[in-house]
Parts: sequence; structure tokens; C-alpha cells
Amino acid sequence: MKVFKAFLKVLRSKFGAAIIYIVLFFLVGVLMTKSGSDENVWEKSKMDLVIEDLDDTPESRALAEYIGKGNNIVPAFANEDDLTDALYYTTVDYAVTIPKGFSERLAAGETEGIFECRNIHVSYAAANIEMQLEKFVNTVAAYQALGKTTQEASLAAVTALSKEAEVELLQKEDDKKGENSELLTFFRYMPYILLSVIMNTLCPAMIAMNKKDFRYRTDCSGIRPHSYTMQIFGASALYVGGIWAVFMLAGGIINSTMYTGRLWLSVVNALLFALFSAVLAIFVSEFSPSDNVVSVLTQVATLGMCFLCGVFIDQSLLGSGVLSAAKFLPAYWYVRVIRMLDGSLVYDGGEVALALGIQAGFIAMFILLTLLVRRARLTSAVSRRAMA
Amino acid sequence: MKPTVVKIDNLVKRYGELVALDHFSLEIKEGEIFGLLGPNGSGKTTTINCLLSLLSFDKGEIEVFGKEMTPTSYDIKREIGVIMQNVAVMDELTVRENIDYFCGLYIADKEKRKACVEEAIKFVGLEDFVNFRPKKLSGGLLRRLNIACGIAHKPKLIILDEPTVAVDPQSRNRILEGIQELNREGATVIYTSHYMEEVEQICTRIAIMDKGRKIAEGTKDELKGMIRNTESVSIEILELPEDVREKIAHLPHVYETDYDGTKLTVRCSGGRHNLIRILAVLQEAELGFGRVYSELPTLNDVFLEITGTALRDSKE
Repeated sequence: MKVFKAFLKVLRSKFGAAIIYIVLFFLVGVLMTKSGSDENVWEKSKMDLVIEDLDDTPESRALAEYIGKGNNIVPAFANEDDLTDALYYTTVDYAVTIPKGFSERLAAGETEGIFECRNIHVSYAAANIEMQLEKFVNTVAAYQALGKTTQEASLAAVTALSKEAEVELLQKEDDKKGENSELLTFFRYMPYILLSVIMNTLCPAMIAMNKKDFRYRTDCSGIRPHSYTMQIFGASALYVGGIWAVFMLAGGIINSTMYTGRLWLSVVNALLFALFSAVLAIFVSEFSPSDNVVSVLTQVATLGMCFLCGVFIDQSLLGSGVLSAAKFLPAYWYVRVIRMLDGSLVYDGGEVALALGIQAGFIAMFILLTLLVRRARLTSAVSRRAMA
Repeated sequence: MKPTVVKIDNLVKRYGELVALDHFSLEIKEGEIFGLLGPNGSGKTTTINCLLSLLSFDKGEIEVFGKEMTPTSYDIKREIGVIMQNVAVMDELTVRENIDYFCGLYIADKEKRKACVEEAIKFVGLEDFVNFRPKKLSGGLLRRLNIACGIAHKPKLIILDEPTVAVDPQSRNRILEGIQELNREGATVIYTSHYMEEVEQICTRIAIMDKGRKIAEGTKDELKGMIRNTESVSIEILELPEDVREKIAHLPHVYETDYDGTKLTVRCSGGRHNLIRILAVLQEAELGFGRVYSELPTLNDVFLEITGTALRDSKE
């Protein structure tokens, strides 16, 4: 297990470069998940309201009670100027005066001009108050028409109007985010972070282990090539699995309901993409590029793939040409699975399986390419030894 | 008679049109420090690579410790230590971790390995640098680390492939002393180099290679005995009449004279008191002369006489 342990030590020494990506991802992930989680909860807005009841009858008190329920009641001002200032500086949104004789006029069936309303800034809030007042008067009139007295009608109107319907946003027309939008928020940037972290650590570590002279000395030892490869493979798998597990665990902590029902498929989806990132890193390392080249390749691969495949920009906003090209990249299929799971696209089990299968296909393809390159390099190394 | 550690018989390695090893044979006995001397491109490293089964060959046989050496001869490989020209260590590991890693490829037992690692650290004098990473070490210390990585598992056969290239004289001497010490402790050593002085200094037997062939083999005295030149006398002299030069040329054992206007070089083959006889001729002719020095032949002279080219000046 010497190679296994040494490789993990090398990975640990390279991990510093990845930490900044992980910290940033968690910060952004937590912030966006938390900000996104309030999107479906609706709360009625409240006005700061002054009510002056000069009539002081059961009817006027019923009106004051109804209006007061949905708004913040501000005590009446001592004089008119103070109220005007308050309205001007919006410390008060609206002022309603219930004049003397309100109950009589209400009983007489009047609906127009039975209150005195004041506001300075025209707003949706003011319109909302006016609508509530109008609704109260019309409801009282309706109950009166049913034979109730004005007092009974007023109380019945308050009871009836106080009932609120519960509203939950299931789907918005603009971005079609569904019930699992937190999932999308957490998982949509994962291809970038997985590629960045794995490429920036696994690739240099593999290059270090495959350095010509170091490998030569290892080959001279009694270790079997198969054992060497398996130990490297095992350490890589442990590392990539660990990275993936940390992200999945963090996802569960951020949102405990994240992995319920078919949303577990997102875990498989992320695992496949982590494996793809690993085989891509191993493939690149076969060419033994310098640290700078690794850095450039990582940026090109991660940013290019993420922009083209809808990681940074929603796939619904990308042109058909871009999406056609993106189909040749695994991140496109990763994002597609996420979109089906979060409700942005209609869920289709077959299509999810296809997308996961295509990602697995990319993994297999890069493993094959890596083996081909390794074989070519081995032949070349033997030739170099012969020429030495 | 000591047992044979390495036996290479009639080895041929071709690479396309190029014949890298041309019917090369060699036998190294236990306890020897065997020098493989030759210019760059002569086939030294190819021989080592074939010996370690890192390279296949077209013809011939290789036996190590009396067994045929194949790519799967892991039991034999475990008894071999390799120290290369280039420092082959991991920059990401410390000095101790590097030695432990390579030792761990040969020795599984943790306690035994730990003792071997500490011994190797002590042997190369890296006690004060065990927690340093290689990048923090000077060139000489790096070479010592390189050696420690190759010998920590106490191999019976140590192969050193030009370990002193680009090493300062002080470190070089320390490395050479270390090799001799390892040999005294029982290891058989194969030492390849194109530095003839080093090979002369430490090797008990030497094979000279050129163009994939062994052109001579023996102890350094045996090799020097193979050539005509046994002594070169050089005299600084500003004026040398032709008759005097002729007289010197006809002295016993003198087979070649060379005068460039300031220095007379006289090459002798065998005999004794050659210098005294030459100086006597000059005194008799009443000629003044400056510095006089006599040189015994080097392996370079051996190589020069056999191949017609200088060992040091040969380029790959």
C-alpha cells in the first residue's frame, strides 16, 4: 500500500489549490439556496394606516377592525399638519376618517363618499386600501340585501372578509422553476466545482507520480505494474469519492429534504460527473503538461463546458446552435438531469436514464483514450531507453 | 571462487537500423565494483536497462544471481538498488518520506523498513534535513537523497548510472567514498560513467564500451597493459635541433616524439629510466629546458589507442 499512501500524500499537498474553490462554492451555495428557498412563500404586505373614527358606532368600529387586521394602525395625530407631514415622509401610508353619520349613510345604502381618505403618494398600497374599503361597503350592502340589519351586516362582512385563501407558487411562467429549485441552485454549479477541484489536484498528483525518472525508479523495484496501477486507482477513487461525498453531505445539511424521492438521482448524477472529472484529469496527466498548462487546460475545460452547457446560464436562455454543440459535452446531460429533477423540464425517467448513460459513455470513452495514450507513451518510453 | 552476480551473454539490442548493443558480454563477480566506461551513446545505459528488464532485447541472455532475468523477476529486482544520473524523488514528499516510499517498494515490514530508512539517512548524512522537501535541498544534498532512495533496502547489487554528473568535487568524493563503503559492506556495484578518473579510483574491474561493443575489459592495470604507451614524458624546451630530436627518438623504448616549438612529448613503451635517458641527451647537447613531467597512461589513453578517439571529447 506504499504507492497508495504516497499518492494520497501527494494529493494532500495539492489540495491547497482546491480549498478556495470549495469554500467559495459552499458560501455561494448556502447563500443562493437560502435566498432561493423563500421564493414560494407569499405574505400580504401591510400598510401604516391612521384611522380616525368620528362616528364611533358598531358599524364604524367593525370597519376599523377589518381595515386594522391587515395593516399596521398608527395612532391619530394631534393636528392636521403633523398628519400631512407623516403622509409626505411616508411614515404613514394612508389616512381614513370615518365621519359622523357613517352608520346612517351605510344603512341608507350609500356607497360613495362615505369616508374621507387622504394620501399623498399614489401607490399600489393606497389603491389596495381603497379596494378594501370598497369591498367592505359592498359586502355590507350584500348582507343587507339578504335581510340583515346594518350592524349584523357589518359584523358578518368583517368575518367573511377576514378569511384568506392560502396561496403557494408552484410554477412561475418566467423561469419555470419548480418545487425543487433549491436542488437546482445547489447542483447547477457542481460541474464547475467538481471539474476545478479534481482537475487542479488529481492532475498534478498524477503527473508527479508519472514523472519519467520517478516512474523509472519505481519500475526498477519489485512492485508489480498491476499492483502499482491498482494502488493509484484506489487512491484516486478514494479521493474523488471523498470529494463527492463531502458535497453530497453538505447538500444534505443545507437542505435536509434535498435527497428525498427521485431527487436521489441527483446524487448519482453528481457521482457520474465526479468520475468524468477524474478520468479527464487522468487523461490530461498522461501528456505530463507543466503546472501552468494544467491550470490553463482546467480553466478552458471548466469555463468552456460550464458556459456552453448551461451551468452558468440556464439552458432555456441558450441558443439552439449552442445547445446542439453542448450535447457533445457531459455537462449538458448533467444539467439536463438536474432540470428534469427540479421541474424545469417535464420529468421523464427514460430520458434521465439516457442522460446518465451518456455521461457514463463519456467516462468510458476517456478511459479508453487514456489507455491508448498510455500505450503509445509506453512504446515511446521504451524507444527512448533504447536510444539512451 | 566468488559466485557470479551478473552474467550478460552475447546481448544484441537493435533499434531500427541502429545497433545499440552489439554482441555484448559481461560477467561480474560478487563483491566487485565493476566500471562500465564509455562515451555518451556507447550503450552503457541500454545495457543497464536490459539488465533491469526495462527494455527488451533482440538476442542474448541475462542472468542475475544465477537466475534468468525477465520483466517478472520481481524476486531478483528486490535485491537490486538503482541510482540514476537524474535525481528521481518526489518534490511533494519530505526527505524521510521519499526514502520511506522507495524502501517501502521493497520492504513491507514497517519496523524493518523504519530501521533501514534511518540507517540510509545516517549513511548519506541527511539527519538534519529529514523533514525538508527536496526543493529546499542543495544539489549535493539532493544527490545524497537520490543515493539514499536507492540503497535504503540494502540491495545486494547496486547499479549506479553516472551518479556524479554535474556534482561538485566535494560531493563527488563523498559519493565515491560512500560507494566504496557499500561495497565493503558486501554489495556488488555496477558503476557506469564517462569520467575515467572516477572509474580508475573506485572500480576493481572495468569494461570499456564504444558503439555498443565491449572493446576492453580487465583491471585498470590490465587495461593499461594492453596499450603500447606506458609512459609519456613532456619537457618544455624552446629550441630543439633536429639531430637532438632524432637522437631521442632512437633511444630504447621510445616509439614516438612530438615537438610543437615549446614542448617536447616523448612516448615510451615499457622500460625503466626513460626520463633520465632523455634528460641526459639534452644535457649532452647543452640545451636548456624548463618544466619536466612524466605521466603514466590513463584509461583515456587506453580508449584513445583502441578507438582512435578521445573518451572525454566523444559526443552522443
